[in-house]
Amino acid sequence: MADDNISVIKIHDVLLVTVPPDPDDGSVNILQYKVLKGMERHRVKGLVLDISACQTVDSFFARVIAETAQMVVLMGGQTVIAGMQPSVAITATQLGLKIGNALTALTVEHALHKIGTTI
Amino acid sequence: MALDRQQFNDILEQLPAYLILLTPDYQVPFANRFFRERFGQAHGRRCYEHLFGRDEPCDICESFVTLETGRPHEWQWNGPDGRNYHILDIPFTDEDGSTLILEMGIDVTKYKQAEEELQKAHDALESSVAERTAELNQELAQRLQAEEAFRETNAYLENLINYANAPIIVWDPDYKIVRFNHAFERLTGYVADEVIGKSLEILFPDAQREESMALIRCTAPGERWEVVEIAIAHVDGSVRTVLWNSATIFREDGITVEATIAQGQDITERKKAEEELIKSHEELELRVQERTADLEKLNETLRAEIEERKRAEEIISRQAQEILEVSTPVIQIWDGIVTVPLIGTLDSRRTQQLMEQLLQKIVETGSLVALIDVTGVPTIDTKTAQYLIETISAVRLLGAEVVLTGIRPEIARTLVQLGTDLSNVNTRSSFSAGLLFAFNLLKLEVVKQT
Repeated sequence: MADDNISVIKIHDVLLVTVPPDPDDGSVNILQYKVLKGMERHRVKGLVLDISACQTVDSFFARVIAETAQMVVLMGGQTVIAGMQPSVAITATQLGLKIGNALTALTVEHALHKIGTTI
Repeated sequence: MALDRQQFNDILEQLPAYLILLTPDYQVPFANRFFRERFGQAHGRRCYEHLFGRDEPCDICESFVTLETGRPHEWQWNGPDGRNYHILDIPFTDEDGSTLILEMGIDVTKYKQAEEELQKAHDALESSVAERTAELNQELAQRLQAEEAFRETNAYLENLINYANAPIIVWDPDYKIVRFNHAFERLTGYVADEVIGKSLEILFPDAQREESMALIRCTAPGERWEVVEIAIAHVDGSVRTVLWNSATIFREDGITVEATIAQGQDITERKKAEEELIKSHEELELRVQERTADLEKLNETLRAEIEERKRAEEIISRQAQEILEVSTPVIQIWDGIVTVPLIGTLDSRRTQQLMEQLLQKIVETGSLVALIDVTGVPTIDTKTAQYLIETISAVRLLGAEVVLTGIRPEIARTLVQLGTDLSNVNTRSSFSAGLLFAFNLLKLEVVKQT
């Protein structure tokens, strides 16, 4: 199942999720569910979403990511989206996607830095 | 006296004419033998009763006229025997004083008949004379009419020939001119009187005289010209070209040639016009050919030009692509800092190029700050501003910051008037200020060496 593709890793006080390339709608929903579960289970400062593998995004995926970020914020965490590809960034801006309170970072390293965690 | 009376009676009896006495009441007291033999005895009856069996006097009877006039009366009478009588009535007084009429009738039937026949013959003669006269008159009138008609026709034909617009000439078998109309006078300048009786030769230009005469001799045996071109000389020396057709006029025997008539048509002008037309046509042809050659040459040149232009266009489009790439040079000026110095007008295409290249470079170098310097940009429009904002958003999505530097007053005015929201964008006045902002963001410090 798509389940296996998505892993939510806790590193110190941060959850790290690597989004697989070309996620389908089911995977995206599972991702959100797992992230929120993880947030609930672990007391973490934030979430790092690594989307560097994604070459394309659709509007549904973008919406789910933005919503997830806001949900995480509501749960007292900080979301950082890391490693967005230029093509995805262009598409996202052209679609007028808003990522709300989520931060962005060039790499996972930068993201962790932004949250204030060092490994 | 009695003898005398007897004698007188005898004489009366012997008369070869009738003699009667008539009373005013139509009685016939005496009639001689001639009367009795012709008409019988009256026996006391009235004359009209006896002669015609009538009840009253005859209307035509003139016997009693003499009584009224008292003078002898002569008249003609047709008797009941069908004969004519010349009658003489004389008033006569009888011995007892009563008035009588002595009537004498002479049989003139034969004379009358002869006279009538004579009259008839005379009348017949008269009428035949009148008839003949009428015939003669008619004949005369006809002849006069014919003569008049002939004269008219002749005059008409004469005029027809003389005033015809085409030159007409007639010559006799010795080639002497016998007729020369007005049109011919105009054609040659001669007057008819000058040339009539002269040889045809005088009409032709010297050079063509023999040739023309040879042509004319052909007509002698009666050959017709349909359309023969013979030049005619004018007295002033000019030569006219004339088309001729001829016909031979024969005597009544149909063999002997009486004359030859020829009618011409002056085609000098037409010929000249034709020649000019041909010449101008040739010129035109030549010009068309020249023009065609010119056009072909031009065409060739144009084709070469098009080729060249196509090549140039290829070069230009290639160069344009190169320029576009070069026009948005993204340079890493420090570890973690990239910059794009924009020079010249920004259009949508260039801005898009900028976005792609900048994002690419940011990802490649892992830069956290991007400096976009617009000092060299003179103007900006809505669409470009929109692209610029999109670029900034996209850069942020990557996780980097953008510093916009060197916004000129005109651009600042435009951006504000267009309502472009740049509140979330870091802007600095100069590139150096932007660089300082970047150093601060990266927590770097430039320190002067000691």
